[in-house]
Amino acid sequence: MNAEWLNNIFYLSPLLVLAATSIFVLLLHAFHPNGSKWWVLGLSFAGLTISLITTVQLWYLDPRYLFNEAIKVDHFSLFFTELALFLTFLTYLTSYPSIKQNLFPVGEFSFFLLSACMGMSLMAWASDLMTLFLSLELMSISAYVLTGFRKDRLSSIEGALKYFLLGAFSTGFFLFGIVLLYACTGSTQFSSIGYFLMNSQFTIPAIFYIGIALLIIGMGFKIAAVPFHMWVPDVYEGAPTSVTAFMATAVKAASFSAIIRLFLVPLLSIKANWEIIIFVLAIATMTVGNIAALVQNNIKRMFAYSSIAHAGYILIALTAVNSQIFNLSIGAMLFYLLAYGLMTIGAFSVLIYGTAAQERNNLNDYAGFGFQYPYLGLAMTLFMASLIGLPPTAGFMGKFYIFSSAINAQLYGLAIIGMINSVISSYYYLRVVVVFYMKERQIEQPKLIFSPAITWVLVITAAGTLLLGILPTGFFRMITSSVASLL
Amino acid sequence: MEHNLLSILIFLPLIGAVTCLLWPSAWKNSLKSAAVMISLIEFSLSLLLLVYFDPATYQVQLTQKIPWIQQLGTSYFVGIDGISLWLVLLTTFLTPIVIFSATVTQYQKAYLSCFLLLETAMMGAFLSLDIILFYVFWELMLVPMYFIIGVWGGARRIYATLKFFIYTFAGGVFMLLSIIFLVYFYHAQFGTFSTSLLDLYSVRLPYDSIRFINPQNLLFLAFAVAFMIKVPMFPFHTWLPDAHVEAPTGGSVILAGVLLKMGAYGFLRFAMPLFPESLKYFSPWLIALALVGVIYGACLALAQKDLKKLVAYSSISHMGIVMLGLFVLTSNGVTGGIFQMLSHGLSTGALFMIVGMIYDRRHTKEIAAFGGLTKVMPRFAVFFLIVTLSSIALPTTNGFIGEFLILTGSFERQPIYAILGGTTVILGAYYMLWTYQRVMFGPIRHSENKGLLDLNWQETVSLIPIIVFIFWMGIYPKTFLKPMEKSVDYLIEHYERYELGIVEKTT
Repeated sequence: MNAEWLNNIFYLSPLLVLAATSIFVLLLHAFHPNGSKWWVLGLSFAGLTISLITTVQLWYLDPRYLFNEAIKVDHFSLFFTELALFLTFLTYLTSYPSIKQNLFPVGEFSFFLLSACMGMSLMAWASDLMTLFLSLELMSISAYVLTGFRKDRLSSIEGALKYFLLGAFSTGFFLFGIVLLYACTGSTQFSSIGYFLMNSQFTIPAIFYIGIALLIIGMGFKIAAVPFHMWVPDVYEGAPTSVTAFMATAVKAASFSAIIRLFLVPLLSIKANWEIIIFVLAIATMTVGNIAALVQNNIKRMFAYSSIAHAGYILIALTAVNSQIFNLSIGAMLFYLLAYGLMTIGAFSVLIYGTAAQERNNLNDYAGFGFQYPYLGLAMTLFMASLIGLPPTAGFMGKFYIFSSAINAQLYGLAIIGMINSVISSYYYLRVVVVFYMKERQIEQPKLIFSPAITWVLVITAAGTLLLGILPTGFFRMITSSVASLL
Repeated sequence: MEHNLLSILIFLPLIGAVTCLLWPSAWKNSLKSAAVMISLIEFSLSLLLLVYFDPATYQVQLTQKIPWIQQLGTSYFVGIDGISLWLVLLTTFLTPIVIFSATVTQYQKAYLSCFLLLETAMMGAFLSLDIILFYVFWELMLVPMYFIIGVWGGARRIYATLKFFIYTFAGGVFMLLSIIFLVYFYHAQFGTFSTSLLDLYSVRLPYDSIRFINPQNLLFLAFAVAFMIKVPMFPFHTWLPDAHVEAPTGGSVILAGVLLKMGAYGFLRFAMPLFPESLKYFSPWLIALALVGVIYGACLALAQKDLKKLVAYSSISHMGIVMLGLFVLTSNGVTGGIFQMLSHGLSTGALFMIVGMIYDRRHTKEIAAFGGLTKVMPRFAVFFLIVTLSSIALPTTNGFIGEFLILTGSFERQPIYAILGGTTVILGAYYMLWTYQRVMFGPIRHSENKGLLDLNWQETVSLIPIIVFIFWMGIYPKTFLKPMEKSVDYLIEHYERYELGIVEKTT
């Protein structure tokens, strides 16, 4: 055990803590299935907290590569680790009512949630294609299982199976892409790939580009870009709502972090060649997502399509990345992922509150909800306003930055299409507010039980949405240092 | 105190709105009085503006600048000048009247706090000198108005409010794209980031007088479209009849009284000073659209059978003449335009209140359902007549001063503008007096009208201040015209000297 080894362990501590906690709580629940749930929950929260503390400690150290450049620990990875931990924490809180009602076996749920969190963090740390693949699989398999947790509902099992089959298929594409890249460059490390590209400007073999295209397909599935989005509505509708929120925010964030690490650092020099794919993907994703959401009556499906659309907005910033506005565009993506995470989990929490007593996902069943439960209505209005992009919320700041990057890259057409999509999206977000406040009560609203856990989530996400919209400077600084450490 | 006055004016109604929302149900009866009290305090504080305002300079006064987002150079920058002074006072004047005369009983807490939140947004929009801050308040205005129309409105309220919101929001987001471009252009030209309006006035945007597609034109168009939707100018006026008709009385008053002025103010503060060369290029088109709005709006008003819809179309016509005054860019024209904004706010606000009073009694707004009301409601007839005469610009009322200045200013530019704009005098008189005759004069055609009660003390009290100002502005308009002079002259001077490159950078 030399100092090098100990140092590596220290750098890995956030992930190790998560791994240890997840296995421990699984075993704890396995050996004491009738024991108090509080032990499991408490230990999971403790694990998340310790992981967060170690992440914050690592923030003050210099960036470095570990394990023969398998992972890189820098501000970028730590930002996404903190984001993943935060979103996992919120997901835990929102699942609390389901856990209390014994709908989720708590040990297994904690295990898979924490594994997913670990996979997501590792995706941002990956500086090697194999690590990326490993973490992608870890996150995905945990997500597949989490989708199917409500075994009593057919839609949940169906969603899990769909997600698994399609996800495995797309991972196959991803793996094939890795193989082709390895065939060209002889290495799976990002920096070696970048080095290869810079040294062979004119002799890049065609299969390299095919490899990139396959990688885009694989990652495109994960972020639900059109035309790889067909799984989203069914999976989001079938999964338990807290897991849907988790998938919509955290999985997307992690996937984007992997995309940024892979595509925008080593492959930046040839971006002009693959940019057109992302351009088309961005337009298609935004448009299909928004237009499909217009006609949905099921709230969860509507949110599913809207999350597709939001991935499209982030893809705008991805298209806009070039060496002059590197910081601005990637910073815009990071900010939007953070803002989007907050507002989506907030919106889903209101939904979870409304469906805790009885499952109802049809939008029209919520008529008059806003006046009967004013605070929930107010929170929903805030989140809808943020998703539309009204100031002074986080959604506005995020859209402002994304469109700034598009305009700076002189992609005016893309910016205008993005704006038109924002306007289109305002219709279906406003429809939720209309039903909440402006329609007469059709059916009697069930009495809601006060749940402190979800109330905390609502408070945190609402405060975060307003904070990011009104005082974003601190977050900008954090994001700028994260992006700067990428290179 | 002086330093913070504007911030207090902006945020006091917000505090009031939160107070209203948290008002205990046990004290339900005093809720409305509390809201009226808050808005009256706001009004008295705004009167202090008149004390502190110095009419001898065109500079913005009572400024307050707090850095907000340093990466963009954005700050919380508020200030007031001759153009925004009376608009602010109009806002703080109309809000207590609207809250006082509110007859809504369902969800009253939310209703009153919506108006107070709306007042915050409107004050912020009029007072902000930072373009991002202005955008924040501009979009913020939409949310309370959306609720007011959508929750407490008429039968087609959901359609009307969605149309209003999406239309105005669409204009706003295109304006946002322009703002982003402008901010980054400033950065490219000057090296630092700043979104303060006074700094942005000194940006030299490339302009190519030969080609239509050039940066300044496109940016101007984006801003212009956003403001044209708000005014509303033809052809973006279709949201207005629906929104006005379906809104509750108080909502219509504020919508017509203040929100429409926001579009005109946006032109004066943003679109015109930032892009003078484009303005020159487009001004014949804009004047033409304004004139179309005047004549077409009046013709549409003639054809209406519903009283509220008639007043809504007359709003389009009147805002058309206001925009005519602004676009001819002569001292008389612009001053007249701003003055007419104030007088239109008062007279059309009062008209909507009057329509609301009739509706409260008979639950119909069809003109054919009335007739001969003078016999049963004499006090009401007097108020209605005074407001009608103000609307058609009879001398000694405020409408006359505004229209006279506008027509004089337009004549200075091109006589034909004044001739066409002058048709508003004829058309306006036609439909308003004809309506008045059908509703108030003649025999009582329907027996239901026989038992109508005259105005009660609340309605009288809410109308009297407006009547007072109608005559004050009409007989001694100097009080109102004096503070505007210097700012208007500076605006026109800035426009004329832009091409020569002589632009002062005021901080």
